[in-house]
Amino acid sequence: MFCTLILSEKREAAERIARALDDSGTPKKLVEHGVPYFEAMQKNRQILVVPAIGHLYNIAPERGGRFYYPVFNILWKPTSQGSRETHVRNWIKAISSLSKEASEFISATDYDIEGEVIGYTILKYACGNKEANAKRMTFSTLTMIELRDAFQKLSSNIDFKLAEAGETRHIIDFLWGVNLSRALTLAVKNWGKGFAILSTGRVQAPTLRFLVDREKEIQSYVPTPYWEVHAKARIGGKFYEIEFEESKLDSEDMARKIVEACLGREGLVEDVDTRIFKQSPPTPFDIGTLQAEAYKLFGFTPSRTLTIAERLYLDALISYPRTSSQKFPPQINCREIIMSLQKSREYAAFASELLKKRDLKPNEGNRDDPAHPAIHPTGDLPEKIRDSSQLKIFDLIVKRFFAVFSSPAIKEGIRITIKVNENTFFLHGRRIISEGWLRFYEPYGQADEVILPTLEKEQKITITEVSSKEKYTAPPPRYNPASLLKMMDDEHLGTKATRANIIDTLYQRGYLREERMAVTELGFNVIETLEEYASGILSVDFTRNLEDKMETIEKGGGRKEEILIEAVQRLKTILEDLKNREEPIGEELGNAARRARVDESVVGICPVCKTGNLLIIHSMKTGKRFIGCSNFAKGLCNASFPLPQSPYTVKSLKRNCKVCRWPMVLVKSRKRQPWNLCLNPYCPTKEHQRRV
Amino acid sequence: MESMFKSLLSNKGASKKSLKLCPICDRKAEGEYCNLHETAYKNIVQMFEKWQSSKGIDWKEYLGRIEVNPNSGSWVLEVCKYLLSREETS
Repeated sequence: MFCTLILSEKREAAERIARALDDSGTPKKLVEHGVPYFEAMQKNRQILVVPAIGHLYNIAPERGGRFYYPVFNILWKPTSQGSRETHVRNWIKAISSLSKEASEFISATDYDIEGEVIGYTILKYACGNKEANAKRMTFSTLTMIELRDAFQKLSSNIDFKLAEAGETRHIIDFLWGVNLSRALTLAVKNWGKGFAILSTGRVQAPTLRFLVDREKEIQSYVPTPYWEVHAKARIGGKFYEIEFEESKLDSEDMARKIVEACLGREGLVEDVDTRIFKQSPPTPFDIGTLQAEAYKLFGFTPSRTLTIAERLYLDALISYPRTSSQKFPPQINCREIIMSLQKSREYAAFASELLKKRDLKPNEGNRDDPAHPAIHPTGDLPEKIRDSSQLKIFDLIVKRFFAVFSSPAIKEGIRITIKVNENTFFLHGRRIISEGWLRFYEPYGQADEVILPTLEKEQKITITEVSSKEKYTAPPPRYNPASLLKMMDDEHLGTKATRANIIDTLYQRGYLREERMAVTELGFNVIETLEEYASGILSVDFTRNLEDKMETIEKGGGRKEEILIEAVQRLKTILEDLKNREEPIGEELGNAARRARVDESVVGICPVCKTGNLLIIHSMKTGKRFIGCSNFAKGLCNASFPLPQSPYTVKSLKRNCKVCRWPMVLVKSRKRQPWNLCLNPYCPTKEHQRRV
Repeated sequence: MESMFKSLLSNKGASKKSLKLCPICDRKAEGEYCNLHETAYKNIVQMFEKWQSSKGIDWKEYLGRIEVNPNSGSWVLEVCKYLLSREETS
């Protein structure tokens, strides 16, 4: 019997593919070396659908050992990361064993750079050089119809351009990452009077530099005073805030004079300016806009949104989420999708209204992605509610899908100019004349109105209050995950698949802390050291240039060898700089690492003596940890407090209790949600514990 | 950025090599301060004129106002504290 081996990226995808291709719709679930796979039958054809678990191979140095560089001799090796290593070995064994039965090979991994590399490496190394003759199955959703259609329309080869682009990216990222990280770590080891593992990379370093520059602006910011003049008008029994024409006044004196001039005076309507404007529907979601919107609406980090969207994709509820497209190609039957969504009670009314339109034309954006369309629902409805965060993202995607097909919202903006003793004030209003797409995008679209009374020129108005308020300018805001992603996208740093992970990595390395993306002292020191001794690492232009060149490989223009040579030559220059200046780099980073460890142990000002600092201390004698005051050594304070012991981990929160103002720590354990612990044993928040 | 490091870190290595240190945070100093506190100091000096023309206050009062302003950056707070303590001891 003819045997076909289909490779997919994940177990759920493999199951769906097998179900779609099996004549009876019920494929057999089998196991090989502990690895699940599926057997579908079609007349005289046996189809084995085997999942991977993401990348089974990655780039590694040819030679073992960690404490040397440069590393330029590399090869593809089975992924080895802790407990994952055993799983990967079993997976490779299973695929290798099953491939011996197959006469035909098909790659059905996700159709993007990473997916193509996964398929390519498995076909080459696990299946024994089968990549040249393997076919390609491409799809953007995991619905039965699309999977069967994709199987009928197989490409005769895998996408070698995409695989080559992916391989180039993996090699460059690995070479830069391993060499730079080892150079910094060894500098500290050799000259820094200690040991610390420091890492950086081609995309990580310039991204961290942006964060550092913003942090510098914030931390060295000096606010300046300004004044606002506010007034209230009574019109038709209601009170309205009116704004002085200048939103910021530089001197207190000026503000005072305006207030004095307006107090007790009447206002006169000088002008009523009405403008009608159309607000176009939003464009379809690409992964960046979905992540930004989910952060704005739900506070979900970009990586969390991506994880949820991938889950929805594997459940065949939405299309492939890792797309940069804002368009729907003609082959997507949007009307059919809306008709399917009409079966849901929740979406029936919206769907019915849209289906009345003869022509369903989406408001598309500029961006396109040859591999996948913009994110859209498939029309399948969620059978089981898994969790609320999945429901939120699913609902957001469906509502957005409806909104892009609907009509513009028509709004009216009104500005009334009011003179109060020669001083000009404005009263602003807005009204929705036609909701258009806003109704389909509820509750996510903002449709707040400010309805004003009808006013005419020369009409007199009672001014009930005039006052001035002193305010201060504020520093620019920190980046949040959504705005950082956008910045990385604008600067061409990383790819849509890797950006969210870069942000996570910066946290893991200790370069960022807290949700508000504050740069730690370690993050500062790493960037400062690189700026002084190896600024080439931080070049946004070089990274952007390299990204653009790697994209040309995908399109068939660029050549892998040329791009690798350029990247390696640049890297060699940087490594030489690092080696020549190893001593000062090691000293500075060694100090930075020590300061970082000290910083981690500082919890806050001691509330007992008010001059020392509370520190997390590990007793050499008992092996236990506790909180102690830094003034203990001087004999000035013996404040100390207990802490939860292992297996709990404890970290300084750098924040005080809102109730008693004592410092707090964050306690984590594997078995429960992390919690904030106030160090004050008599904190009112612990009242319920004392009663027990 | 915590000036508490001054009491927590050993300066043995630094004094041996006669490195000039920032009086606020003990980092390497090019001028009077490290580059981070130097930027904060320059901003403090630059903005004084604006405060003076807006509110008609003197240098010491200005530093005091900046020190308690929630929008002031933490390095600015540290420099203010340092400058004020210098004013008091001089």
